[in-house]
Amino acid sequence: MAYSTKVLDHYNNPRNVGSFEKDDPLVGTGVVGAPECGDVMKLQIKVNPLTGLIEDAKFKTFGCGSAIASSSLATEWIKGKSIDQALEIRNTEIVEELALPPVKVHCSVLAEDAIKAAIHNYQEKQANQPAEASAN
Amino acid sequence: MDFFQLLAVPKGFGVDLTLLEANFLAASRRCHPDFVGADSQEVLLQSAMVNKAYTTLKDPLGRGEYLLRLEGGSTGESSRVVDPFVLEEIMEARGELDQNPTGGTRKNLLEMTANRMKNHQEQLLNRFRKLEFLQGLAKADTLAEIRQTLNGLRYYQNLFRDLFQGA
Repeated sequence: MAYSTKVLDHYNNPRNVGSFEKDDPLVGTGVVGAPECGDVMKLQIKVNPLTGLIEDAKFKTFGCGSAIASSSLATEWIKGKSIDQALEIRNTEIVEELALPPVKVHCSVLAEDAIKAAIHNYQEKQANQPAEASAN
Repeated sequence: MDFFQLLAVPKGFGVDLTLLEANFLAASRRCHPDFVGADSQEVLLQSAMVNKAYTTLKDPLGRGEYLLRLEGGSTGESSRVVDPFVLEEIMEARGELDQNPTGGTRKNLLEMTANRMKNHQEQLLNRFRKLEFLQGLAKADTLAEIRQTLNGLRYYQNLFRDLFQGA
């Protein structure tokens, strides 16, 4: 089955490839994988502490075209969103947007998991902050 | 009859590969049309089964998955839990390979990956052995550990294959 033009577009011009400093307290990192196909995906968010919005996002994915496109799209979508809004993104929306065939649905699941893992990591970091740093 | 019985090797992760191969050859011979005389449907099915048993048990990952299923553990599709350390390392290794696909990097990564595969297989051996003495929750925990180890092993085996193919 051929990739859709949207998948090809993200694959050929992936948005937001790269990484942030993992130890930055404002950065949340999610690394997820699908053992059955060997894909690995890293997605990072950078949160603006004043607005609480995700001001930037980066990803790095080693996997098939659909996995790359799914994570590329995910970073595009979460930029500018609040944490809560980003958590609402469902893999089915990614499937729809990219017209993924059934065999590639797991790539969109991976992207959703990566968003959640990155947010979880960010929230954990915030919870572990010394008291004076989080009081503002 | 399970694959271990079919090839007359003791059920367990630590299979004697020499014995496995010898028994496979003997079993194939027993159901080979030239020896049996007729290629009946039954013989054909048996031959296919013997082949499947051999390819499954020969490969550590296939053997582990099969054994886990016999023990009532979950299959690969239903549990994708992987040690975060493994994912990080795979991520890093693939990144390194992308940036520098030359012989030196590849050789180092091949060595690292081979070590990890060996290490995972040792863990599987110990955990499967432990399993027979466990019950209830303790058994479920170990089954989950095995599931995670198998998922990790799959990553390293895939990486190894990719490193090898490009070498």
